[in-house]
Amino acid sequence: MNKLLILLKANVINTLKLNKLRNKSTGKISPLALFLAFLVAAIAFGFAFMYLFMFADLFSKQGLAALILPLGITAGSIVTLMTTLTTANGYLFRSSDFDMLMALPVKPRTVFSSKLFYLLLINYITLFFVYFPTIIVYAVYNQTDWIFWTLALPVFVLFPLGIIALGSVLSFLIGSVTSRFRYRNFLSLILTLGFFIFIMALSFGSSAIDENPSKFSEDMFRILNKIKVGTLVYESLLGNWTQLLLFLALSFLPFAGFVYLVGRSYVKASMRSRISYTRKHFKMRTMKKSTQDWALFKREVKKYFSSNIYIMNTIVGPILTTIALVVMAFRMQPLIDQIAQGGLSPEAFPFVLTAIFAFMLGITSTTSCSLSLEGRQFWIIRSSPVSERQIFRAKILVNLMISVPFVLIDVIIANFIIKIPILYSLFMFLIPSLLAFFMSYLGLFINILFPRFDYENETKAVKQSLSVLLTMIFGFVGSALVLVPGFLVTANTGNSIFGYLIELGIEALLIGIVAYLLYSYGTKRYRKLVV
Amino acid sequence: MAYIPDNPDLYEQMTGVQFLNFICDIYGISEEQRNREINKYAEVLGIKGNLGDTISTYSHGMKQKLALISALARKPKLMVLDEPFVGLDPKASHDVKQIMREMCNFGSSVFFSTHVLEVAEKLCDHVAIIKDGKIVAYGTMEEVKGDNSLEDVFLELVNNE
Repeated sequence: MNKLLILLKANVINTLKLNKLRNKSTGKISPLALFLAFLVAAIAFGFAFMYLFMFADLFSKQGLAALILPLGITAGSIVTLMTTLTTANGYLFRSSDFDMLMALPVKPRTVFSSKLFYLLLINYITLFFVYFPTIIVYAVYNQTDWIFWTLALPVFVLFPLGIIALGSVLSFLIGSVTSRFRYRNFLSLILTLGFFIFIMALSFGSSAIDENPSKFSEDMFRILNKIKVGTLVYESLLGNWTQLLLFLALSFLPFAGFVYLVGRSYVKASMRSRISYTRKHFKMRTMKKSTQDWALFKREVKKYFSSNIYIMNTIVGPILTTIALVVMAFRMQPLIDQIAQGGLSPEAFPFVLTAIFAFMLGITSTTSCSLSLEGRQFWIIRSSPVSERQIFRAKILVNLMISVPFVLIDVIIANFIIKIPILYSLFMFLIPSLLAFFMSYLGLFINILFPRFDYENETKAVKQSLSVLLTMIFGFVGSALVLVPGFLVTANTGNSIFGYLIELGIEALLIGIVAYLLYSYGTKRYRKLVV
Repeated sequence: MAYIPDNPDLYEQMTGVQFLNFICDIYGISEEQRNREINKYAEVLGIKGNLGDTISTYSHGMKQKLALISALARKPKLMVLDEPFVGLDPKASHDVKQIMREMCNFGSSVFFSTHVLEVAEKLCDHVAIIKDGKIVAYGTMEEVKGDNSLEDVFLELVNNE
């Protein structure tokens, strides 16, 4: 077998842990594992179709159903860029098997190619769940011809190439620059977030959104056109040959250039990426004593802020909600008009906002992977004289620390947008905050049931583990269980106070159930965990 | 009790001193004791100047030393070590042996595993030989090895069982 294929095969088996799918005694692929894999894929497709149909329906009402295609492609491109930015430096240049691979009779270029193919494979798998639902939903709402379907697969293969090349170069540069600093992770996070804010600022220029809400879809087209990739793919699939040629050039040329240049200097780039700078003359100061609980909490906070992928995965929702509210605060009148046009009375505004805040906090929790992130260091906490309750509490507090302040800020901003009575403001704060409590317990309980300690790269624990996916699904279900009855009661009685009280009652019940599960069965399972 | 695995995975994003302070907080070590013991052992093991760096920049030996300091700072009555000399340079290895001997002289016990039989023979008061997960010989060093070397006894036991 070709050496590249041998390396790629080993990489895929090892990194994706494919041997875990096999039955230990027979060596054959376990039907249960296969079923679970299909189930996860089906759920991912389900979510993608649900959101796409929701947006397509909204756009088609304004006569712009075509918007779904560039929007889906742009979303896929952003996911690819984010994944590449946060993982490429680790996968390509700082992989733990670098020394071993360099000792093998294989050219560095081949090693680099095998790593790059793996990076592509991971991105294709992720994109598969965005791209194909997007073109299918597009076809449901729009006319398509044979050119569209003939080009669908080649475009899928080609369009992430340029983005991956760009993301890999940026990831390498950020990694190299920040390695010189003590707070390299924090700096790297700031640079990564800064890059995205820069892209957003370019796309959502001050004149981008029209005051008239009915022109929203047209504005979206204009914004997407600035990001380019979405509209370029859209035009290409429709058979616009000049756009197709431009798309081919922009996808293939940067990628080919990246492969050629890095392939020539892969060893040099990897060595450079591995350099770490240390201070030799550290002066010891007197160390201060803390309580066990404070020490555990500080450790959790430090761990949280030391992982960019962990932060990006858990804090983006609350940040986006806050940014959206700030934007609204400066565009109050059109928003109120839009609410009125939608048949919603301004009194319902706090109720809707509460639901949005709660929903944003109800799909993610830092605790869903905080136990997995103990990784091979789990022995430290395991052999320490601290109780399970203390460990759980520290993990739960981190999720509350990053979610509750956002709710408070959001409520304050909402009060700037529209005058909200104090009682309603209190509900707006309490309902999402209690949902964050529920999510903290739920995420930790699920993570104890399905921990993933044996990872090489923490991306596996944060983005590609069963506990994170299940927390998202159950969080979604939990949010619906809280919000839907509240909405129905409000709609039927016309009194949102009843709705709020129902929501609080359901939340208290859910928190009670999941806290009981965590401290009874969860604690027992925790005691049996081994790395 | 203090336990150190053979390949101690420590919190890579903490600095050495932060890690030591964390462990001392968890074990409720007084400020006076932690400052005294950490300064003493970091000096002896030669990593005092590196304690301000993040652990991710440490070599295997430095991590081993840091884990050892975190255990020693607690002044444990029993210390359990798995292959404590792997990855240590000759000086550090010598210093660790001296520290272990000192601990025993002051009434603590050190329980460690090793494949280097010369080290066990020179250092240990009691020894147990394990084959396939079962103890096949146990006693004071003199009782187990008699007039032979520990290596000879070990090979004989392992080959004959």
